[in-house]
Amino acid sequence: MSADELELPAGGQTLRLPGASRDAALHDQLYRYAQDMQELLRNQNELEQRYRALRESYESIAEGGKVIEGLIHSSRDIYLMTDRAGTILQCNPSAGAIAPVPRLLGVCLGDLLAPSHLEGFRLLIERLEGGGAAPAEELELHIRRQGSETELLIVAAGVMPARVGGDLRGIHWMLRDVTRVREAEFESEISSLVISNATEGVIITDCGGNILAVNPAFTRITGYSAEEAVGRNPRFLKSGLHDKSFYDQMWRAMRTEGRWQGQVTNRKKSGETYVEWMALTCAQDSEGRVLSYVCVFSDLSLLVQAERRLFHLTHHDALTQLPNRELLQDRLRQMIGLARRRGESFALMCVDIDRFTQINKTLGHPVGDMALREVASRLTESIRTGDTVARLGGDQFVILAPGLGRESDIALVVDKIVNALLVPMSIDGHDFNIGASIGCALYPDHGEDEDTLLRHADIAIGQARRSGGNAYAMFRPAEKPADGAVPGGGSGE
Amino acid sequence: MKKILVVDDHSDIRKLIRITIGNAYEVLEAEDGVTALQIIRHHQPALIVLDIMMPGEMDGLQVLDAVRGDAALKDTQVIMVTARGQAKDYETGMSRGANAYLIKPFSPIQLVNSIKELLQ
Repeated sequence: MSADELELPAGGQTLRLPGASRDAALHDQLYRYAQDMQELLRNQNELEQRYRALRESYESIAEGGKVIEGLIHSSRDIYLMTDRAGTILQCNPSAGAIAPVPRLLGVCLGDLLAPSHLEGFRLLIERLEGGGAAPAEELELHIRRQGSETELLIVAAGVMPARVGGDLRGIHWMLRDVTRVREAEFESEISSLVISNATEGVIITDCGGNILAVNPAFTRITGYSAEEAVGRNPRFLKSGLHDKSFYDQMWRAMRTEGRWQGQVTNRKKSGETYVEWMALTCAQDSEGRVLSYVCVFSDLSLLVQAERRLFHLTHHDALTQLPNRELLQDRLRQMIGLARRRGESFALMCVDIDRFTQINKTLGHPVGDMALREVASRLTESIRTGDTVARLGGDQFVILAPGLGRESDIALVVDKIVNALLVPMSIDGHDFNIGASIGCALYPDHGEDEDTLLRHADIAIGQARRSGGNAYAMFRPAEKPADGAVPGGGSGE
Repeated sequence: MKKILVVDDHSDIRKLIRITIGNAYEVLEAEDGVTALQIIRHHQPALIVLDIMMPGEMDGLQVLDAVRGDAALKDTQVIMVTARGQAKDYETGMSRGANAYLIKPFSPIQLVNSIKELLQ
């Protein structure tokens, strides 16, 4: 209510004086303007405050946006922004792993995928298009690298749909390269497949030598189960047949070369020993620290048995089981070498059974063969430990007697042999006597190589036989029969 | 710029309104009904801010009648301005075709909002 407004009661009517009324109306209107002005100022204050708050929050959002942009740019993961059909609109530098960035833009991600992964991609797009949420689990995609058909980039894809008012406008993709991981997994699967199917035993230990794992072939060969082996040191397999220096040498090789291989005799759970070919290697880190030892071994038992059998077959006489000519020559060679080094002497004696052909003729070959076996066993019994008896064939035997140099010592040995052979034989109902002619050559007096010694002993036999059989003769250098002459020589019993 | 005619016998009030809306509209002024009608016919303003109580041959209601009675002016928007307590004027004005109504002393904010609304 304005103070200038004059109200005069005049018959219930409000009267206004003309001049005062005009001023009052203006006054009232101005007052109303001031009120509105006040209201406007209050509104303006409020708006300014809201504006400041908005600007602050916008700034922090913009700052956050910059951080996200920077993170995406520097991320080692591949970032792609595609439209709703998968056409690439934007990507970060890491996308260069797929193809040079300029060539990626405008290309459909689906066209970059290996055919086997196209279906999964299509289903995902359909799902997002239909308003579905992005899958919680990462989607694995195989991307053809640089458009190659074979070289694949395996990625785990995190997917985020960009929607405006519920409509799919685009898709954000974060692709993490898992190619190495998948390859390593594949390799390790292959390795474990190989290890578990190998015919070779495998032991893997930690750097302290405690067993981490063994394979089925280990169990097959040693008899120890994985449960029995894991956690233990492989020394429980030791046979005790190798001395400390053997193992010292093995570990020296491991330290210097990081590997060792060779033949080892170990012991099975059953207590039986077996021969294995063992290859030991170690896995090291980049600084050369040993992480683990890997031992691969193959069972040589059967091989060794077969070898021994073969050696026996080829070096022994089938009838008497005595060493044959080949083994004799081998032993003779060794004996010469040893005697030469030690400056020792030894005797080589050739033993021929007198009139043996007669036995074969009159009593038959079976009896003759049994007689030869009997001779072999009598010869074996009459020699000293360390001496060798061999059969050269027919009725010819050879005895190597190391350490014998003097004729008197030899005579003692020969006596023993002759007496053993003189005992009457009784074979298959036939009783008969045999005798032997023995020729002897000495190393080094009568020869320094195998052939010479054998030849000279043979010559001495001729001498013994000429004296009537069942006799012994020492080779005499004068007897050299290059001209066929047969001079007389010394003879024994 | 749309034309707005302000009809009021009080020159200061007209001046106030001109200051209030002059930036956004071309403001014409008339101090009585007869002048107002001449200007309306000549300029055909989009809107008239019309004070009902005016001395002279034509008051506001008569001007309103004239405008509503002229087919050429049928789209003209009229904001009627009455003194406080003149309820009869309000009813009469609205029934005769006014588009909005303000009570003196009017709120300039309300005036601006009404004009905006009617000329939208």
